[in-house]
Amino acid sequence: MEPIQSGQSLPASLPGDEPALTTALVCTGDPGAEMAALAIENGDAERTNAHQERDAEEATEAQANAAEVQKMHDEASSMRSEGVFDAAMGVVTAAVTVAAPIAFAANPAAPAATMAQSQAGAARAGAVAGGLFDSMGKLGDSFFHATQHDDEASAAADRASAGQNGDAVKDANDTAAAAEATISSALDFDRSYSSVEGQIQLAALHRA
Amino acid sequence: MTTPVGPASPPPNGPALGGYDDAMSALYATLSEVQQSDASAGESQVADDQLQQQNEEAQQRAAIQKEQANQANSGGGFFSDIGHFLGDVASDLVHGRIGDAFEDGGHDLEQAWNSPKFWSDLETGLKDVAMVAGAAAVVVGSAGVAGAPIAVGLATAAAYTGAVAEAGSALAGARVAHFAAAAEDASADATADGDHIAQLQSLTSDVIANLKQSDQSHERALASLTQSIETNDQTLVEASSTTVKG
Repeated sequence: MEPIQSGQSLPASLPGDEPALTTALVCTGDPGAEMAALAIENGDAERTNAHQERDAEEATEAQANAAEVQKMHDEASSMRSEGVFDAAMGVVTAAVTVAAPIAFAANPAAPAATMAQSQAGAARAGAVAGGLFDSMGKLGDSFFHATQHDDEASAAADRASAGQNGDAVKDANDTAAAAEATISSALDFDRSYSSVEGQIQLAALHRA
Repeated sequence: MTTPVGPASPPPNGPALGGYDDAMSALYATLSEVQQSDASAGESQVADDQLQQQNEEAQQRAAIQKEQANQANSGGGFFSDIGHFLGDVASDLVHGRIGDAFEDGGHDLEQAWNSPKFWSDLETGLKDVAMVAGAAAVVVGSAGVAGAPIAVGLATAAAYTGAVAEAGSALAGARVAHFAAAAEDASADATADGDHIAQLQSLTSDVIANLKQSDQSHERALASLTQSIETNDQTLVEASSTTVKG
């Protein structure tokens, strides 16, 4: 599966929002224009930072999500290995349980009392060998279960981390919206200020 | 999901007055084109994201189905599958369809092989058999030690049966574990697809937000241009009237 590329593009710079132009306006000597230009500059910087923060948090969130999925796959892999291990141990245990009494079997020509004792010993040997391999199987199971629990815990931690990154993305979006509102207010102020200034100059022209 | 964007401000009214108005009009037209171009690019990206989202949703549904198919209680049980197998083969043989008997039998065996419940039932059943056989071996073995030689043979047979059942149970357990692992893998795939869908939704929201922001920016620029043209026209008119009065 191909990774999702962050394809969002920031809006193109426009005459009204251009930081270079606002920087030039800061030094015009017109207090209203300077104030508006400074507000726009600040808003633009804040918006850029918010967008960068949002992109970074989104990338981190994606990484945490990928790590969670990887841990789930690791757990599945461990479950599969455990199944194979259990099967192998089960077969070996059964083989030893069957083979041990045969190996300890008494000589058929031996007296009955000796034969009975040998059979009892063989049965005990089979039980001991079977129990030994059974214990080894349980030990292996414990190891696999512990690994699976570790993977589950890691996946849960990654999920929680991704949730935190998601919250941070929302915060960054809110910050960007606030910055955008600041820029809008500054531009509205500048427009009103320019309009009033023009009206004053027009009135002066009339009076002259 | 998309925001229709069009020229928000009407084009400047009246004929162009002088070179300044011509330049402003050209700038206005250029800005309008840029606005349309941005809107088209944004809409195209949103459409791409939605298409990709639909693909991810289809993959997620498939993964969830796979996960459900690999659950331990999915598929036919041991006796159900054996019953189907015997019933189909017997029916085909009775009707003289030898070829169908092989085909149906093979199909039923394949279903049983891919049925988690079949293997789960088999594992449980063999465990029970091993347990009973083990108990029988101990009981009969005690009688054999006490002096009944024939009981020793029975105890040995019971012990062997228990061991074979235990081994069979372990092998069936491996198959059950395989299904459980496949379900976990499918669950991980479904989670990954869900994450990608959420990521695409977030990306689409970002694109729309940026598009709105860009659109508003263009609107402001166009409004400023319109105002500039109007102010220039008013100034020209005022200057002309002042000259005439003077």
